[in-house]
Amino acid sequence: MNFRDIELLSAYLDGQVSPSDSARLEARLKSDPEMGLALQSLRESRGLLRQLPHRRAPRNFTLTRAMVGLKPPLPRVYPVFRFATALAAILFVFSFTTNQVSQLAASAPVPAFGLGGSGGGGGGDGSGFATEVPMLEMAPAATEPAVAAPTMEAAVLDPAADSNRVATEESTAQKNGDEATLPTRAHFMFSSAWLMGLALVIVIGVAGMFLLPTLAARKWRAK
Amino acid sequence: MDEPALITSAQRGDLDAFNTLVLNYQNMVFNTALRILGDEDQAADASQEAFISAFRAIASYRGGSFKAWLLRTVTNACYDELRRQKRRPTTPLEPETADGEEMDSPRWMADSSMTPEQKIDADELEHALQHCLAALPPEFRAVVVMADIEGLDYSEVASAARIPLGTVKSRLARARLRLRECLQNFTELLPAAFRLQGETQP
Repeated sequence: MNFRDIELLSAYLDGQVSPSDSARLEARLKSDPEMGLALQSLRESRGLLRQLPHRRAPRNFTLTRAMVGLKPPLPRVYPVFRFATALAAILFVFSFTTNQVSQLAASAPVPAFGLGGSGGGGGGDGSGFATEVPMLEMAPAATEPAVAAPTMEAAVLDPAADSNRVATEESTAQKNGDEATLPTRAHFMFSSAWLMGLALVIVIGVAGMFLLPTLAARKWRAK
Repeated sequence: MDEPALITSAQRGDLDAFNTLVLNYQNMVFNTALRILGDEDQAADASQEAFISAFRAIASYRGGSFKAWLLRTVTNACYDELRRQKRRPTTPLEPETADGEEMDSPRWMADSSMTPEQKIDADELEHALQHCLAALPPEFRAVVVMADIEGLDYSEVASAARIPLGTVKSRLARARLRLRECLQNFTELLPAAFRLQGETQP
């Protein structure tokens, strides 16, 4: 008797043999006592396994949402909020940057013409406000040396006169600055109302993006 | 709700529907894991893992025997556990007393419907069978547990183990043969009452 016979006997025990094989096997079982013993042995093994008690689960294996990492579904309007917020943020940054750039562009040439140019003195290169302040001092000296020389001397010697002169220059600069700022404000590409509106959309959008999933999750957990 | 409807709902992500299926099958899943692993705690862990994996993979279920599909998941979880055991030291099957000695008849094996003598006989039989099952290679053990303990037919076992029908027949025959040989060592432990009980016809 080989393993093929054992396999056939095992399948016969479970009724998994074709009728023709079954008839042949039954004929052999009648003539071969060894096969009968093998069948009996397999039947005993199976019978003993079937005797094993069925254990009940020690606890319920039901799953929680946390176990399977389930997240609450996002509300349908969530993508709208996300898109609107992102768009508003991009527009805000663009508008704000454009305004800043246009303001800088408008304000940059003003000191060059307003201060350096009016002096009419040599050496004005229009390179910036910082370099123009000394030019203010030097300009009268070039055109009116007789008057300027004592003034400069006095300024060095007399601190009170110096402070008066600085105050005068500051007021002049402020005046010139005001003149320079007024037309620059008119050059803003985007109005402050537009920027405020965008900022409002961003704030509402961010709040919505935070609140909507939170509320949805609360509603989902309560189910 | 019937099983196909529950499965469809679970495939849509309905955890409550899946949990209804869990409650229907948890005893079978746990029992299978227990017979493959031989330890209650490990079997409980494997069962829980199996159900988690089953929920995550339920979209891949394409009909057929759900029981077999679920048993495939639990046998995979058991194989994972057995591989872990190979890498790490195992724990004894029997609980120990305060003195560190094994309990012959642990409380968790008790069945109140039996007399003390029957309980002892049943415990001894279970102990011997579990010992012999543990001696089988895991793939043989899984087949014999599904076919002879859980009562699955050959096609369900083939589906659960993902092996051809011929391999099921072959493994089952080998497993029964080896079990019989193993049980010869426990002849004195096996009560005569348990032999061939209820076994008359193929």
